[in-house]
Amino acid sequence: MAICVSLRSASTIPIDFTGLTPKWTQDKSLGEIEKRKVLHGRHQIRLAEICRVSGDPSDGRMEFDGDFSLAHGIGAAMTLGSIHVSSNAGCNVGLGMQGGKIHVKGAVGDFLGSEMRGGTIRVDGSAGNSVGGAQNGSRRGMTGGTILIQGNVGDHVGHLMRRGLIAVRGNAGKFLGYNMLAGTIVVLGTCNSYAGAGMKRGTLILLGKSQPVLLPTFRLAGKTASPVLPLTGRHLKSVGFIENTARFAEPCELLHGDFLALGKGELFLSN
Amino acid sequence: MMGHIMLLGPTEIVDTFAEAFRMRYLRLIITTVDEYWLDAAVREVTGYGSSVIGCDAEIAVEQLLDTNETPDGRPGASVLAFGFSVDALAKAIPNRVGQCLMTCPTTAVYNGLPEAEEQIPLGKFLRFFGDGFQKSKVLGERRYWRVPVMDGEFVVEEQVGVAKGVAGGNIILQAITSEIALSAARRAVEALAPLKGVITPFPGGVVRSGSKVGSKYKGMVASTNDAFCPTLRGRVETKLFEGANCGYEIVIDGIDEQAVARAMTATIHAAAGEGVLAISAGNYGGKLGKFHFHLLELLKD
Repeated sequence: MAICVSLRSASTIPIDFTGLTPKWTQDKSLGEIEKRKVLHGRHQIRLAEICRVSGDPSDGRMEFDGDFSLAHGIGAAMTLGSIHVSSNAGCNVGLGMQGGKIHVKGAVGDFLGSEMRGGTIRVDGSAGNSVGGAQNGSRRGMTGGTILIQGNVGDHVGHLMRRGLIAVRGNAGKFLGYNMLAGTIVVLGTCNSYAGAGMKRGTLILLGKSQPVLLPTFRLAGKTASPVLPLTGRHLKSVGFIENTARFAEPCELLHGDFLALGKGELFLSN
Repeated sequence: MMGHIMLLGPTEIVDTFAEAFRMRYLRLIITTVDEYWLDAAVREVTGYGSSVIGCDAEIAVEQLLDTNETPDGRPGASVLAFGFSVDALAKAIPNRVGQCLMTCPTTAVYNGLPEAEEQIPLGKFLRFFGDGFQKSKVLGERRYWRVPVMDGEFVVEEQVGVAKGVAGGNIILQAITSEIALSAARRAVEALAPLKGVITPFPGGVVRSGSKVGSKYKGMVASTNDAFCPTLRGRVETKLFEGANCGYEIVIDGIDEQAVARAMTATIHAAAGEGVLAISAGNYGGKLGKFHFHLLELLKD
């Protein structure tokens, strides 16, 4: 039986749940968990003042029941176990997480999986800006793990990303893979302009029906049917992200860039 | 069954056993754009891989794989390779993959034992052919190297798993004529085709030069099994049945004892028939190999 956290009443003040992870709660009693201090606006308050806590935390599962749009840092720094959010979640979901699984049924805010190092995040709705990206002023975004988003994403997805996989079933905003260092981003919908701007290494696989406006600092290599594309498709199918891999089996155009940076990045574009 | 003699149709099953050895094995999954190049790839990589007496590995196709069974959705084959040790495989396999599969159009090579405790480097070495232009892709827990080549990219997994297997299961059949013996041998090999976890690494799955341990010549570790050579009947103590003029051995390597036993049973049933006088097995008195497969016990089940 999982531990269940639900809001006592809707709040317009942001709450920060950073540190409230399955590992921390696992060996605590409900009383101890309720006494945990969380940031409510700029004040530290006990969790019990804003949330009801029930269930059994020992099995490493947490459930956030309700709309947590203004709750930030859910699953931040988690290392194991699983978190399920029944509706929306705020910013910094899975920030710096190292392991475990997060599943959000609704939409999430900015910085989803920012600087994460391992584990898997699934979002059934859309996500904001800087998915898997670096925090402001930081030198690296995500360095491992997988982020799977069924909806759309905002701008700067994969900003300074170093390793890992981000897959987006919907559309992506501007500056996809901005200053990316390595890793893989797959977008099955359309992609807005400036994809790959400043990328040094890494792979963008853009399989939307319309091609994005590309930067002139990318050079066309030609058409390719590399096995790595169907391999990626099969992997996404194996983790339950997509049902059909046919789009990954088609030959794609391959471009190298960004030659304003190192130029070892690559962009696969469907025709 | 009469006393220690068992008949399978007209064929006598000799009360003896096959002696097999503990070896290490790995499984490669090879894919190509179509069956033509798959055939070319597996022929090349399984060449000169019959026996570790003289080859760097015993290697053959385990199964052909459908497109929905391969990692990249292309036609494929799983190939099993057996070696004396992990180190022997670690030396042999990157060489074979580099020379025989990287060179073959459209191939990709994947790890068929990703869960194995021991892993040996494969793409980790071969990537250097990319001269700095190679790239890796990590999907889940697995790393794939992409080496640029003249038809696109050679994709090869970073490492390949090694596990403990059993090599040297065998049967020896004796027939009245070479035609009957060949036909029986082919039936036996065909019976193995649907079985997973086993290979018959010799040409067409069949050995004509069965061997015994040692030789009159210094330095030779194995020499002809004179007891089964029809032309030596009268000169040596023969194990051939009266009227037998041709013998063949089917050697079976498998992923475990059960797989080898199943395969041996299938070959015995398939090989027995009119004109096949006897089926026996090769052993070394039971002193060398850890695994003994008694033919009569195999047929009891």
